[in-house]
Amino acid sequence: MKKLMLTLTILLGLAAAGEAKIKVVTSLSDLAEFTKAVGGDKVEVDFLVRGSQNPHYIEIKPSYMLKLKSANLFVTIGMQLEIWAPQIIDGSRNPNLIVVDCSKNVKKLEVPSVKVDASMGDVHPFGNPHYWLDPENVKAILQEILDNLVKVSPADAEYFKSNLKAYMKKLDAKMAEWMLLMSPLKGTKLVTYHTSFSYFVERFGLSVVGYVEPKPGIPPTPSHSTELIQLMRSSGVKIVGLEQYYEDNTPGQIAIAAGARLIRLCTSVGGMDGTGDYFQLIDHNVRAIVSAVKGS
Amino acid sequence: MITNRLKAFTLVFVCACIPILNAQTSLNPEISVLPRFRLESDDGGQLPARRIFSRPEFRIEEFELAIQSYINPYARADVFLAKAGAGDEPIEIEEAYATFLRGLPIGLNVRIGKYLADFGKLNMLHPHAWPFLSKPLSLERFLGEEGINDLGISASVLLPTGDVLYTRLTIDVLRGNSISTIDPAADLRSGGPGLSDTLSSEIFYANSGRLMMFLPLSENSDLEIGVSGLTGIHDPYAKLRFYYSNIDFKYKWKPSAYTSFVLQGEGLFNSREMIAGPDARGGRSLQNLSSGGFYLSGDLQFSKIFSIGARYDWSQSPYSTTDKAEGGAVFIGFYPVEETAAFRLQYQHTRWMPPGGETRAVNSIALQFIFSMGPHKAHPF
Repeated sequence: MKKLMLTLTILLGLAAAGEAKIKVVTSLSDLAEFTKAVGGDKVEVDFLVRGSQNPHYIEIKPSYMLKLKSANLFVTIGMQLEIWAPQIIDGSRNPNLIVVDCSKNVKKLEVPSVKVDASMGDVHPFGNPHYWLDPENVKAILQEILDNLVKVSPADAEYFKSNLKAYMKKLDAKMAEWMLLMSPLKGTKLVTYHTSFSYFVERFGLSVVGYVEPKPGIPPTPSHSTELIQLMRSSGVKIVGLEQYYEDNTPGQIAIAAGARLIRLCTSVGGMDGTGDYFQLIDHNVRAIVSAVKGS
Repeated sequence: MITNRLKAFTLVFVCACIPILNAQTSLNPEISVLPRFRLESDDGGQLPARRIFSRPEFRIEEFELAIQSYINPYARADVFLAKAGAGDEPIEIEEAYATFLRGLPIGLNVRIGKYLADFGKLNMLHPHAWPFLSKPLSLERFLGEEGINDLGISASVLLPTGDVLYTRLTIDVLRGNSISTIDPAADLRSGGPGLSDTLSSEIFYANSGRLMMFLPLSENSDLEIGVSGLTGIHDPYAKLRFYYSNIDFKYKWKPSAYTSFVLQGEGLFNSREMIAGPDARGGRSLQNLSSGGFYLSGDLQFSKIFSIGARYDWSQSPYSTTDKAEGGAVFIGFYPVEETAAFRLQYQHTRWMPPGGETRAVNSIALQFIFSMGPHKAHPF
């Protein structure tokens, strides 16, 4: 009887250990989707910044520390987008936490060539960190996530690789669709509020001629708005793209004065209705720009 | 021979140091400067019948220099130097401590040095992070102008209360001479100001602790509740002890990036041993005095650059239940570019009600300007 009980206990223990999932917390909702895509049912994923929030300005909440306390991986965008992350990592008191920087193998844009200081606004010293909005960069992100999941659970390497391939296949198919939609728009000029779409416009051959912010992170001023309106008129800009978390007062006035359309673009999964996953997110942005160009 | 050896040693030492010096350039600590300027006028010096505001005084309220860095993979150090005014006021070490963040059992964090103790919600915050310009009356009267800012050692641990409720317990052993509340009777006995801020060379340790709980209520709202305690010697001559207990809360609702509402309050209860007056036979005995105070403040951010708030204060004295003060303040915050520059305007009305004395009221208007240079970290919730 004792032997039977012991055997049962060991078997139950092994079963529980076998089902233990890799606990991953990501900074953005987009990274949570990518991690889930690679990790499948071997991972339990949570994220800190909701799609509707501006990831530059996140309040350091103890509940975030609690999320990281028992996590195996913390997946981040890096390039100092999550400038708030070190305090949360320290506060988590998790000595085994692996912090994953997904920007490692991404070709970076707008890397400052001079010493950065506050007179330039909130310039990221390692370059523009909004690289996840270029669907091609998602491949580098997926690879980085894969490498780190394998570190935690080498036995599941093949499973993760097969998941990654499946997601990439879907991504390639969607990419072809997006390129088809956007190819007639090559060279289209637009204005955005912040430098959030540099990678996106580069991928699809669009051109951002100006920003509502006079400098990154700095609220618009009347004189800058006037200059921007003149620039838009002289350059024939017909679209003002506004990220989901900014107020539309000033961008709306600029758009009206310049005879352009104000469209809401989305930077993260779940940031707006109909952006429940990454494919819907890029779909939304592509279709918003296509409709605006057609409408104008 | 010796000279040659010395030369060779010097050469080897210099060569060995070059990579170290090069490495040091990337190991510089983060340095931030946070000055606070204040333009203030009040009618406190006037007779009740002729209440005229004084000529506004423009002064440097405080100049804070923050030097912060990891010192090794396990610990970080934070040093805050402060100087009040533009004159001969000394530069003070406001805080200087090392925190051991990793490598200790059960996720223990240990802090050693001079620091603002984890007591209540406001004590640990530097004034530039307050929504208002003045310290609440209860904290000023019971904890003194500088608050519980003492040499000590602190240990904190997260308690296992599930995946949603964050619970942290902090215990401090402090040197015990930081609080400088004013007791006229103690002044007479010691010939100096304050209580524990004593002329005695003997050290009386104080102990404090705080149990803090943080609960997310929804996607847009959070609640923090804390219970703190502090005990120490307040009269080194008679070795009389005091006990403070404090409850604090902070509720924050933030439905969008530019809209938020914070409701925050603290209630402090004091129990202290006092020497009673002479009895019929001329003897003296110990008596226990209980008093307290509280504040409640609300702060509404209604746009990216503006916030408005109000606070109500009520407080007894640490030494008397009949010595009371109450006040109210309204304040407006203006953050024209980012949080790196802020203007704050506050009107405050305070009434002092001493036992048996005449009630005195003071109105003050203050405009504060704060800017920050450098990467001084955001304050947690």
